[in-house]
Amino acid sequence: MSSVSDIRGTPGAAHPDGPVTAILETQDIRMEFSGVHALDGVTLSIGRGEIVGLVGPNGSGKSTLINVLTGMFVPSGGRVRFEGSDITGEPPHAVSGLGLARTYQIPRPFESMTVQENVAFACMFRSKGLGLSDAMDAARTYLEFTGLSRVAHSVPSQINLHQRKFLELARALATEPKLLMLDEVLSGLNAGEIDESVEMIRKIHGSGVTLVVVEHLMRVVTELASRMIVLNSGRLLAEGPPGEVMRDPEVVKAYLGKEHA
Amino acid sequence: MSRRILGLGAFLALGVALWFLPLAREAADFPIFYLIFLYQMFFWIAQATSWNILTGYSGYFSFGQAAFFGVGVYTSAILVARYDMNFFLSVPVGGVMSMLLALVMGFVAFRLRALRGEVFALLTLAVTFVLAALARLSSFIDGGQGRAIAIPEYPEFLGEYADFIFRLGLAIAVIAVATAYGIQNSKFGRGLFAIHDDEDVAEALGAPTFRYKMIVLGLSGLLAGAAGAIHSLQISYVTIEETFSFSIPLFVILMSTLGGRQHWLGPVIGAAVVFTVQDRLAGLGYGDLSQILLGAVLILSILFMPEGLYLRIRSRLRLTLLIFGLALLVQLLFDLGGTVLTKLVWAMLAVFIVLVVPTRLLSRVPWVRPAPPARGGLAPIPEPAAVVKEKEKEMRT
Repeated sequence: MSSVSDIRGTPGAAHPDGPVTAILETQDIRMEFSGVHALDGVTLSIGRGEIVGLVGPNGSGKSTLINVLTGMFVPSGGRVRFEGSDITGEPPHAVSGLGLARTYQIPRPFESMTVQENVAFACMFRSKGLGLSDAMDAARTYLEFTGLSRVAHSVPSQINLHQRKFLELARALATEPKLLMLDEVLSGLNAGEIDESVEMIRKIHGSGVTLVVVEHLMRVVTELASRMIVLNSGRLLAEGPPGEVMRDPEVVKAYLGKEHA
Repeated sequence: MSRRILGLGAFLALGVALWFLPLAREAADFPIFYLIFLYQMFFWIAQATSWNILTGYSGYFSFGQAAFFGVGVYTSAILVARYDMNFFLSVPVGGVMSMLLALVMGFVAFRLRALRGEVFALLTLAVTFVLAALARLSSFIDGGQGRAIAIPEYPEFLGEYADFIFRLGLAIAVIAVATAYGIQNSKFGRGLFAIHDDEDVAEALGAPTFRYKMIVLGLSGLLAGAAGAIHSLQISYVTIEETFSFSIPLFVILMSTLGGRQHWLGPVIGAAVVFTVQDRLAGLGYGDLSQILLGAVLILSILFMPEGLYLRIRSRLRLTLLIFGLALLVQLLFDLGGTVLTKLVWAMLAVFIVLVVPTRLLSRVPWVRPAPPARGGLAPIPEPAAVVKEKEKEMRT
C-alpha cells in the first residue's frame, strides 16, 4: 500500500500548529425522503490525516450522511467538496475513483465470488484499475493485512462475521482510498476482536488514510478519534475533542435522555 | 492460461469443422433434415446466450426476448421485401434496430432506480406486447396478415439452401457464444457478476454500473436481433403471433436455467438439450408430453440442480459419460428402434435423472463418490502453476 502512504508527504498535510487542510467539506446538506428530513442542514469539515468519530443515536442520520458523501444519495440541498472539487451529484463509482471509500455496517460481500475475488474486484475498478490476473495478485496484500489469507478461496457464506467485517475493510482498502468511512466496523465483535480491529484501524491511519469512524461503542471512538462529530435528528449537535464533546449536556441528553442532563 | 487458449482453440476448431459439415451431405448421404435441425439448435443457442449475458450475468430478469427477436425478424423482412435490401446487410441492420430498442428500454429503466427487480421484468414484457400491437396496427410492418419472405440470392460457396441457413446459424451462434465467453473472462464480466450480487456495492467500489448495464443490454439486443433477422428466412412466412410469442422468452429462460446461468457454456448445453428433446418428442407425436416433461425438468433442476447442467456435469463427468454411453449401448444392443436423435433424447433423459440426484443422496450409493457440488458464479480461479503440477503428479501416481 505504498501509494496510500505517499499522501503523508504531500503539501497540505496537517501541520502541528498550522491550519489543517480539509479533505472533505459539506455545506448545508439536506436530505429529504418523502417529507422526512433525514439530514437537515449539515455543515462539517474533515481535515486531512484526522480520525473523526461520527456518532449519534439511532436514526440521527449517520448512515444517510455516509450515503450522501459517497454519492449513493443525491442530496436535496447543499454541496459536498472533496479535495477542493465539488462532487455533489457525482455517481458513486466516480466518487470512489477520487479516493473516498466506505465499509458497510452489515457486510455486503459479493456472495458468488471468493474472498480473494471480492478484494480483487476493488483492485480492478479503482482509479488505476488492474487487469483480471494482476488484481488477483494485488488482492493478496490486502488479505494479508487483514489476516484473511487463510480463507482467500472461501466464499463469503463460509466465513464468520468477524472475517466478513474484515473483508469489508480489505475491499475498501483495495480501492486505495484517501478518505475511508467505517460504518460500525466493530459492532457485533467480541472484546478480543475489537482490540484487534482497533489496532488495524490505527495501522490504516498510520499509512496516511484519513478516517471517519461511525460507531456506537463510545469507549472505542473516544479512544481512537482526535475529534468527534455528534449528529442528532439530522443536525450537527456538537463537535470537538472527544472528552469535551462527551461532557456536553446536549450530547448527554440526546444519548441518555433528559433526566441525566 | 494455456488451458484457456486450448479451450478457445477447441471452440474455434469445432466451429470450422461444423462449417464444413454440409460437405458430408454429398459424401456420406447425410440427410438434409439434420442440417435444418442443427440450424434450429444454433438459433436457440444464440437466443439463449443473448438472454443469458443479460439475465444470467447481470441478474436483470428479462421477459423481452421476443421483442428483441421480433424487431430483428421484422426489420429484415421489411427491408428485404419492401426496399429490396441485400439480405446480408439486413441482418446487422436488424441487430442494430433491436439494440436501439434495448438501449431505449435500458435508458428508461436504469435511470429510474425504482425499475429494479421485477419491475424491469414487467417492463420487458410490456414492451413485447406494445410491439406486437404496433405490428398488428401498422400495415407498414405487418397489419395482421403476416409477411412472406423470399429466399434471397446468395454466393454459391454457401451451398444449397439447407447448407446456407446452417452456416448462417452456425455463424451467429459462434459469435454469440464467443461474446459470452469474452464477457465472462473480462473485467466487464466481473462487473456484471457484481451487479448480479449487489449492484450498490459494485458501484461504490468503482464499477460504472449504469454503463455496464447499458452495454450488456445493447449486446443482448444486438445478438437476439441478428439471430432473428436470420431466422426470418427459415420461417419464410412471418406472423405476429409466432414472432412476438411468449414461448420465446419461456424457452430461453428454460434453456439457460437448465444449463446454468452463470457460465457461458450453460445456455449452450441447455439449448442443445431442450431443443433436441422438445423437437424429437414433438416429431414422434408426443408434443404435449414434451411440454409436461420440460416443465418437470425445469422444476426438478430449480429444486435440486440450481447450479445448472454444465457445472453438475463437470463435477460428475465420469458418471455422466458412463450413463450416456450405457443408455446408447442398451438402445443399440436391444435394437429399440428410432433414429439416432431419438436414441440421443432417451440417453439425455437418463443422464438428467442421474445428474439431478442431490449429492447427499448419490454419495450413499456404495461405488459412486460424487465430488462436492461445483460453485456457481464465476469461472474457476486459475490455480498457481505449482499446485497444478502437483495435482498432475498425484494423478499420474
